[in-house]
Amino acid sequence: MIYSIVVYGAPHSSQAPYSAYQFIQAALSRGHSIYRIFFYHDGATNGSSLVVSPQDDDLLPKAWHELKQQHEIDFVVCIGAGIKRGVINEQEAARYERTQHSLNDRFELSGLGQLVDASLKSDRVITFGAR
Amino acid sequence: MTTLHIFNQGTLQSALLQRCIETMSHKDALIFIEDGVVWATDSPLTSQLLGKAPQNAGIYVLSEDLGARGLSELKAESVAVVDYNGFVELTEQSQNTLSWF
Repeated sequence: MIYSIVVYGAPHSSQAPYSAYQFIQAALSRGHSIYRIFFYHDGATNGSSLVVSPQDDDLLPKAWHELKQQHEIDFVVCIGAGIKRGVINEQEAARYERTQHSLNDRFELSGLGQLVDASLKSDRVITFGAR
Repeated sequence: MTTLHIFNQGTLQSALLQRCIETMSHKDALIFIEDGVVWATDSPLTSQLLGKAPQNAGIYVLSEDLGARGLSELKAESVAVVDYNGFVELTEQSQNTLSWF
């Protein structure tokens, strides 16, 4: 089956991205494929290239990068959620006249349309929510 | 169309769990993950709430999160334990999933 995953939580403050990561590993090992991971709300910070994790708690966001290298999965950070949290790419930095940009280049910034597209193209969409 | 309900909130969100259980139809399933695993323990509050779930609905708890909170020994008999592999299997069996948080 084709799965897409929605992540609402940030590394180090919510369990959501860790649960999502473990769910994805289990789904892949059962022979499923992952079409897209959509990082929404605080989940946008999973896409920051500026995160430095403590050595004893460094699974994420590093593990996303390794997952991306091993599998063809779309990593989409919601653009609305990203710009509010300082997770922006070069193009958005220019648009909003910021001198820096922070989006990891394994991720894309895009809109909710990508979540709708993921729902249409996947057999299952699993949401890992956070408040 | 069956739905797997995914519930990840702790005891502060009893009203949310009540709404989740009222929403369930008899072929649905419910899995407790993250802080939600506390609802899988045996207590008057949890049995009162879970007792309102449809009779045939499967109720599950994620073993990794239950164990991480030291609650494995306190699990209610009516709740079945699954690992991440079993969690994925539950999502295969239900056409829809609904996350409560």
